[in-house]
Amino acid sequence: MTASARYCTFTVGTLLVGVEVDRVREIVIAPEVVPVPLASAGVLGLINRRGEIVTALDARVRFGADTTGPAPETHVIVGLDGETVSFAVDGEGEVVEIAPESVHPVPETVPAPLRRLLRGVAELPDGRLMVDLRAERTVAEATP
Amino acid sequence: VTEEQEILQAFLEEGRENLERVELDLVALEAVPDDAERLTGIYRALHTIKGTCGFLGLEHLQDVTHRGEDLLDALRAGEVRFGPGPAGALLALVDDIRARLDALEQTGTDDRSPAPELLAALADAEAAAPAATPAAPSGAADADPATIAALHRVRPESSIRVDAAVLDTLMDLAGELVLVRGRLGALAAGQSGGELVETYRHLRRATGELLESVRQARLQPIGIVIRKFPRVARDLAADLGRQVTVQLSGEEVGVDRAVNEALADALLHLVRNAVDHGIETPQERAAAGKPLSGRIAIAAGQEGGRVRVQITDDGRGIDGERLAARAVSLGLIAREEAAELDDAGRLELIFLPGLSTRTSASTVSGRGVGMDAVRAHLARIGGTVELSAAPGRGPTVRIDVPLTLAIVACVLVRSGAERYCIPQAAVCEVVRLGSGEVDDLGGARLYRSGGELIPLVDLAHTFGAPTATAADPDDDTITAVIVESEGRRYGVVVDSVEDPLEAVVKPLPASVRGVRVLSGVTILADGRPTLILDLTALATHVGLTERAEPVVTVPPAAAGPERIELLLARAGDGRRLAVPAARVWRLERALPERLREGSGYAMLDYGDELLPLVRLDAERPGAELEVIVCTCASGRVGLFVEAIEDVSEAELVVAPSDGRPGLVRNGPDGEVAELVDVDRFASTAVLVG
Repeated sequence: MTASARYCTFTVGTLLVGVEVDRVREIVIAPEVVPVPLASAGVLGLINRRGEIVTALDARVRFGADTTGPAPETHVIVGLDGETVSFAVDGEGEVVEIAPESVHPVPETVPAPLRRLLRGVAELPDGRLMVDLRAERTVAEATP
Repeated sequence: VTEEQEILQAFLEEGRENLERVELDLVALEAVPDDAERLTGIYRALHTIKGTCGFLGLEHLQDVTHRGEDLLDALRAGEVRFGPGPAGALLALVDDIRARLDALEQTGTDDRSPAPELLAALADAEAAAPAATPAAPSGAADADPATIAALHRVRPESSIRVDAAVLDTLMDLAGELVLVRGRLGALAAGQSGGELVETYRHLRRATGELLESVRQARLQPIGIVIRKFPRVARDLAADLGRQVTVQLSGEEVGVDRAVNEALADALLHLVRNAVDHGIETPQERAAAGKPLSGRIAIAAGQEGGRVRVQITDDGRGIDGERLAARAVSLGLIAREEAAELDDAGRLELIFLPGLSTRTSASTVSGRGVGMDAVRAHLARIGGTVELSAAPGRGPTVRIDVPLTLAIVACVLVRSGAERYCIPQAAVCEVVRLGSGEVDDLGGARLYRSGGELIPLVDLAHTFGAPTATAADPDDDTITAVIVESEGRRYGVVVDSVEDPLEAVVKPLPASVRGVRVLSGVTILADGRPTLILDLTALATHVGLTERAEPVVTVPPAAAGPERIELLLARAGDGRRLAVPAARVWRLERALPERLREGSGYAMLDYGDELLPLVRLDAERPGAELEVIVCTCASGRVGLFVEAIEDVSEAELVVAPSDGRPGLVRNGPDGEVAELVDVDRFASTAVLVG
């Protein structure tokens, strides 16, 4: 990151997760999700997004958040390389601007499975911490 | 072989291929004269030939093709309507060009001036008014017997053009036949022999083969795609002041049209890459002691349901160290990460997004498309691409794509809340089974069809879905789709079977491609994504790995702890019996009327034959006979038992000796069962009978 970047933020459990704005395709509320049998935990199923088949992932499972209760209904559709996925998140936040100097490496004390999914931790002007997601890895990890 | 000869050879090959296509297109145009795309294709093909003529200094050839282009210009502009006149003239032109190519190959020259008749025919066709009714076949062609002969020269063709709509109709009809087969199967069910069963089996086999043939017919040769690369590479190389020839093999490999399209894009990029980054300039090649002209080889082959395409070149190869350094400098990977990579890992970096785009700054391959895009593109049709390289040599790129994907005839089934597609080609029949027709062996359900044992796989149970409550509690029948996959027959138990459909298959997204029991996904008319089952993977998933045909040879019951598959049964006197599963041919349930008893022997009326029977206890059989039909050295023998219990694997604890049955220990309860020595019983039966 050399220049400041804009991020869409979402809440997943207690985490504030950021995804680069230009990767977010759209936000869909309660799409029809067709379950995929025998898929790994966290795969909610498939969504038909105007003819494109999109995998819906329960972001809570991927980020080790509390998964009691039904899967969240807010789906953030994110374009990755070669695939489009949807993250079901607890809540939708605002768009934030992150300056490179406010990004820190992920502390080693963050559990390894989560740390692998993160590129860095950014301090927001209001003092909250936002994690910068390596979206590709969350998908790779979803494959059993 | 000099460079000029190589270029000439490439030109001759390409020219002939172009002519072949032009010929086909001209013929097709006669049927559909308004096909502008085809007309443009012909124009492009002739233009290609003309362009190279100029390059090679072939004046006469250039002249005649130019005249042809004039006519095509008029046709494309709508000034002349396509009809027998222009078709005849253009076909005559094709033959003239072909004759010139032949002469060029033999004598190395093109010294024959254009025949006035041909030029006149072209000019006449061009002068014809569009509204005029099509003239009689070209006068020039009539006037020149050699041309006529050439026009009608028929090469033995092994293929014909068929309208795609006809293939669709064929597929529909074949699908209908599958339904008929299913109904006949239902009529034949419960019969263990006879004409109906034979007829049904015949129909079943023929229908399966018909479906496969129709699917085959929907394939097109990969050559359609790869044949264009010799020219593409040549042109690109020429722009860069390099020389390259492309060698093709496996052009006849058939792939689905949609696969071919995806391959075309991926291969185009790879060929561009090879020419731009791989093949050196003639000076560099000369210095390296290589032939001046670089070589690219594209080889296609089929393995099972996959098509592999391999692209190699004899260029400078890929420098893994440089790739790694570039990836680090672009911030794509950490320095430490790069240091840990082995050769293969460094090559793999080429697939990183953002890497190849920045290295391809030239006019040829610098189109902002990297190897990552190639990989993503192929992944969309369920394909993969890999790269390997020996040091100092050009890379080998391997592409692996499915043979077909576009449209698969499916049966839509419902299981619980979900619907799934089962590929129709694998469906043998759909049966509704009453509780009396299903055997439960320790929770594993079986269905007997014409004496064959067919395991039943409950889809909802396998997928861990909540068991659906029956709509009608009195209805205890189950619906099973009997499928055949890699020689294994089994029944997929579903809640209901809905209409057959033509599913347009989309590959699974990469993130769920690890789910092997699914081969793809389709979108139904209601917009809902619906999963397509992979029946081979499903069989493996539920542990159906035994061969469908019984194995006649039994492993010798040698001493020592040995694990064997067993069919467990209970004899009338309560003893537990175990029959080696490999020896079990069929399970039969027969009424006592079919029993033929004599003094000291019993036979079962078994279709055309009488089956020797062995009783494993002294009791009289009950109302129905449970018979295990086994294969033995002398043929078949039936063992009748009180009840069939389970199929299981067990440890052989005591090997048979002096004719007494061995013992096996089985299951968590460790219950001991007597191992039945089928051959000994068989010889007894024959002796007594």
